[in-house]
Amino acid sequence: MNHYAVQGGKIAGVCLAGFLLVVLAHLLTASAIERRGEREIYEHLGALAPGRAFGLYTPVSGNEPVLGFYPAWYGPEKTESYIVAVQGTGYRGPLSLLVHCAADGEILAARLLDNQEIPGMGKTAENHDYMNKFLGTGAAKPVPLEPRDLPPQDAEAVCGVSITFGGIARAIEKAAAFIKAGGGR
Amino acid sequence: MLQTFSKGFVQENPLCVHLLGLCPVLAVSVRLIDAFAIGLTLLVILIITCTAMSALKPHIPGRFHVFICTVIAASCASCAELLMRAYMPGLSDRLGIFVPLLTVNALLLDRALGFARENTPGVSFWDALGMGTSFLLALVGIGLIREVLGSGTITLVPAGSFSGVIMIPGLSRSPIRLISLPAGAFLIMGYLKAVFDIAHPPVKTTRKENKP
Repeated sequence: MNHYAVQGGKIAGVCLAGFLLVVLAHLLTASAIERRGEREIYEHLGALAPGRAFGLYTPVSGNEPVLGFYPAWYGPEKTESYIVAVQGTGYRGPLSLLVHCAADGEILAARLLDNQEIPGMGKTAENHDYMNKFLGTGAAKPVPLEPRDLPPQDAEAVCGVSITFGGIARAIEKAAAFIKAGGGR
Repeated sequence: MLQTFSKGFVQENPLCVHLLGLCPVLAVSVRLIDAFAIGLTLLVILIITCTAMSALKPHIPGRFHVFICTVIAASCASCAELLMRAYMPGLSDRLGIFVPLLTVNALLLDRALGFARENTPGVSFWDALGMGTSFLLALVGIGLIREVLGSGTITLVPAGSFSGVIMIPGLSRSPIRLISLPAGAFLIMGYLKAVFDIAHPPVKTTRKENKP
């Protein structure tokens, strides 16, 4: 019994040493990784809504998949729009998106961020022109939720990756509906 | 000691003779700088894991060696990944999953669970240093060949006004795209293996047949 306890203690000691090493690395790098994340977010915001000023991030609870939003202002009349952070579900897990909506819910731009989709298939949604099919929808025009709702050339492009497309489309629709219902105000 | 260090360079080259650790060769040897980074990371992880395994082996029962080796390698790989994400984000994005995957690299498992278990920490250190360095040099060589032929460029570290990319006249306009693809990596590996086999013909072994 004592022999097994000693062996177990040695193995636990090695595991603890490994754990402490990772914790130390985490403590040394956490602030740099966080700063990098913030810088990347503001780069994305600038690309989604060029020339606008951004407000602080406001988290949203109880309105899944909407996670929160950044207000944005443009021009001397301070036209307001919103950049909504949403999390959809793709073929291989969560899809993080930023969706730029006008105050009436119209989609102005969108960008896919973190995802685990398959390279060459669902991952093609990272291309910025992929989101062009959603632009102008969300207010008067409904968001296309199925490939059959798209023009033929766009429907062909999402053929075979319809789960990723559906996940993105539903997340974008929820973002537009949230803003349309006055969620940002 | 010198023999332990140098045996991996030619006659026991892990990549070009034993074909160990092909995963990063196929995936991240498209650019010279990526190949160098993954090779250097593996070298550091290999040295730490092999030396630690060799030092710990008298104290840990044999049936737990695989577990302990995985814990040590995974801890080192996690640290490497965190450091890359913090201070070399571009490189971290390009190498992606292949840094954590170094935990189960065939070369690492071979040296840590084979050689290091049967030798002293000092000998294991020199073996890991030699094997890791030879793997790094082979990977850098393959990365250089693939980038020059497949993209017509050589990517180094940017410094000051130097963007870090050297364009090769002629090849940068019409590169051999196949070499950038995984199939190209297999082709290069095949030619390198042939060169190494010609230089040092493999020892023929006779296999005992199991007669019923």
